[in-house]
Amino acid sequence: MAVVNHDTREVQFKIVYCGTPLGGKTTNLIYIHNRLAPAMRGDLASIATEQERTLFFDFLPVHPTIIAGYDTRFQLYSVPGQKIYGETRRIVLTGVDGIVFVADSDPDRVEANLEALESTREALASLNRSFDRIPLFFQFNKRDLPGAMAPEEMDEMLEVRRPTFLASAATGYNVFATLDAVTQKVLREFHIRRRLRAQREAEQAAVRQTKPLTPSPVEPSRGSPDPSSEVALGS
Amino acid sequence: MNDSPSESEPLDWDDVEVSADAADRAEDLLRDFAADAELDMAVIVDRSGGMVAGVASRPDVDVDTVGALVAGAFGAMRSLARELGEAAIVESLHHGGKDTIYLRQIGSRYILLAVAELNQPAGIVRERAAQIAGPLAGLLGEPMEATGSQSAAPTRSPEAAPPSLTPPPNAPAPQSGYAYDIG
Ligand SMILES: Nc1nc2c(ncn2[C@@H]2O[C@H](COP(=O)(O)OP(=O)(O)OP(=O)(O)O)[C@@H](O)[C@H]2O)c(=O)[nH]1
Ligand SMILES: [Mg+2]
Repeated sequence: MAVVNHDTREVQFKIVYCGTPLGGKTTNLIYIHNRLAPAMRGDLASIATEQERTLFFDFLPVHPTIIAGYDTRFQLYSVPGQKIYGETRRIVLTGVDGIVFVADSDPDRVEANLEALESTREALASLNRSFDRIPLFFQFNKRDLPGAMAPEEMDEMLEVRRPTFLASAATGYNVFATLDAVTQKVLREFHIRRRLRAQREAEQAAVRQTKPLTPSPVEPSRGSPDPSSEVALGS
Repeated sequence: MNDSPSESEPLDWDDVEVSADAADRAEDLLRDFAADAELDMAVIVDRSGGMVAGVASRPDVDVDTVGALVAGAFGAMRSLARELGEAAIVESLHHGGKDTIYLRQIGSRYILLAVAELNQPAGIVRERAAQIAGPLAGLLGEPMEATGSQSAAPTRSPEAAPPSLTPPPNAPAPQSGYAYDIG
């Protein structure tokens, strides 16, 4: 969920890179950090082992622009991929707005990819979040590897029914394309939530105004809006 | 889905809305707290790591990173407490070589961070924190609408073209300063 601060006029979103152990999550953030102008991002903070395995998270704040007078910030995190860090993933995924799932195209990593996907689902479920509703893009990384699995094979393996990015984080190929996709989706979902909220408030205000004398036994209830449904963004 | 999850956890997907008024009043409370307990920093962070309000006298500190680390450290402490069957409000105190770092849960969704020099008695920090915990939770816990009394709030969501993060060849984007008080 976003943090909207009307005082400092900031909106903060949290994007988390999840995925296969050693799949290239940290490499994505390092590339983004290296390529963005310093004015657009903060420092990259990593809590990692001496072997550079992510132990808790990597963190990179990115503040690309001002939209409607609000400084829009994306806090990028990566979680550890290793299986034992389930609780850590849960902590880092708290309040997540969007996810990039980085899968490894190495054919030897099929099992690891599947396990990582399952553990991401589990972590989200434990936070009362639905994997299928959250803005999420798959990134099939390490496309530069000779013998990289065919994308169709990976789609099938991971049961992917969403757009996917073929990437090579080591060279930067499609790293920003993935980031752009997830940030834009996160912003769209945010607009939808706000619009639904404004509508609901207007409806409630209208009900209060038009029915002051007839106590209705049932509050006008609406089905809980599906935040992931694609609604055109009107002005 | 309408049942509140265990431990009255907030619904994880609700956006956090901090009105200008609530932020101002939270900052007033934090400023008093910082003065009373002689703190170098007093900030409120949301559990996902987002900075909500704060006062700090350490301009060298990157508040974004502080937010992320506070949420991480607090989350780890909470998991540890839960693992050990501990159910009380989460509170933790770190005595370093130079600083005392204090974290306290505020309501179900926020975390208070206080940083004082080591020579400052930690008991005072704790006591004052306990005093403002309730008022802070009240301020932040209300549904905070950007009502008419506030200056232009974004009831219109940002609908300009979403930003492309692809770095332009040479982007001299001005870095906006943080609006946290340095005092
Ligand atoms: N060939 C190739 N290697 C890559 C690519 N991306 C990352 N790597 C390598 O894969 C290894 C692991 O990368 P990391 O970014 O640390 O992986 P991670 O997902 O953060 O790993 P954990 O945090 O331990 O889960 C490193 O040696 C990287 O250099 C890529 O696109 N191609
Ligand atoms: Mg890593």
